Amino acid sequence: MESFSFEATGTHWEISLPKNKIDEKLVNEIKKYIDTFESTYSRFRKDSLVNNLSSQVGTFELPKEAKELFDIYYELYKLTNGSFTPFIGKTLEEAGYDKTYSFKQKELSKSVSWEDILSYEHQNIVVKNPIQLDFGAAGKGYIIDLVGKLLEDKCIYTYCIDAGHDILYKTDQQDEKPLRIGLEHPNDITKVIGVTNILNNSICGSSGNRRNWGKYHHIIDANSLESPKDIISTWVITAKTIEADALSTSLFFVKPEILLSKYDFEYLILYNDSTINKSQNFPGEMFT
Amino acid sequence: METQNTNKKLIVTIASIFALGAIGAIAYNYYSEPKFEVEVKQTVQSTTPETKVMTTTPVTSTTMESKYKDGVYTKLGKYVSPGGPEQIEITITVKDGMIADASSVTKATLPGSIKFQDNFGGGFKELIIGKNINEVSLDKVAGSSLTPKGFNDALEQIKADAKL
Repeated sequence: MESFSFEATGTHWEISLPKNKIDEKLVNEIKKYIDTFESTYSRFRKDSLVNNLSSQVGTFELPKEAKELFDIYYELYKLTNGSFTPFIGKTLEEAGYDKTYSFKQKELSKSVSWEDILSYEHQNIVVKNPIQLDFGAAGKGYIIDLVGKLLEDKCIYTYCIDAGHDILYKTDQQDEKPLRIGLEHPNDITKVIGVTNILNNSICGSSGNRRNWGKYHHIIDANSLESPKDIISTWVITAKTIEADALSTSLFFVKPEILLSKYDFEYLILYNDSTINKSQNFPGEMFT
Repeated sequence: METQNTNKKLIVTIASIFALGAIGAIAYNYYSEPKFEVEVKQTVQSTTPETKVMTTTPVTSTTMESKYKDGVYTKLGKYVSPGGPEQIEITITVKDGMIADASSVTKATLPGSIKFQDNFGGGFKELIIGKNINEVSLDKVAGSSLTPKGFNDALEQIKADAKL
């Protein structure tokens, strides 16, 4: 396979394709597609759809692909009793992770209920009480899946998409080997704490290590209004990257069993006392 | 395999007990050398034969001399935290000259020490360590998302401003 890389969604992307499939036209099309997605769903983009929904009362028609994103947010909002929520945008901004990265911490407002803010029936959404929305916990996973679909629409069925260390590897070749994936040590990026592997699966990791300030990191529980400190890192392996992404964050808030009632996935949780909890079939080995 | 793990556990146990004293010192922001004694008395002394028998035939377990008799030993480990003397109860099961099991009971009196002893006694779990990336054969690394560049830049600037 050959690779090309670029910056997008504020991070480093590397896409690997079979030899001779990469050309300038395809690369530009992918970059443009990601940019369009970001300008729709990112709260850091002025005039994004997300920012419009965050500031105006009214009824809006959502783009078709918004369904999967809103559906998974609503499902996990219910499963986690509101700890996982799109309204975390307000909390993050109050904690300082705002559009200007001011890191000025203000008083955090109590969490709100979905029904008080939105009424959603795809493709329509009614905003009753606007509040800053943020879809960062699943957005990157989703755009990875969508780029995969773009490639498949062009009859490219073998690809590896690595966006800032969230990875999707698909192949239609029978004899392809799984990709060996190192599990990054949360406190030392030169080290890995284990090796796992994926084949026709995605893997996403969550950790508070890279984006932290004051007493917060970028994962905040909407109910406790705190960044969980007992869990250091989580990893999820499953078929859809949007699910791997959202579930790796949700594992900071609830036990895996709660999420397993609705989703099929393998997981690994690293606690701050250097012990782990992993699903029975989580592939690979851990270093102890 | 199990006994190897149990021996590993014991090493972890004893290392952690020493760590308890050191952690207490750091927490109180005052360093004092922790004094630590573990008394593990055997109830029966094993005796060694006065003459050694040299043989080329394999020695079976029934003729092997063990340094410790099988049994369950419970003793109080004592150490001195900066807040005062503390104790932790350790129980070790010896079988066939090897440690078959080990456990602890919190006996601390100070809140800080109780917390540390509870954490320690909460179970001897295998601790995860890191290996250098270049020692492991990998295709990719998975971890938390690489930080948005703006985030890092802003944080560095703020830190710089805060120093002035």
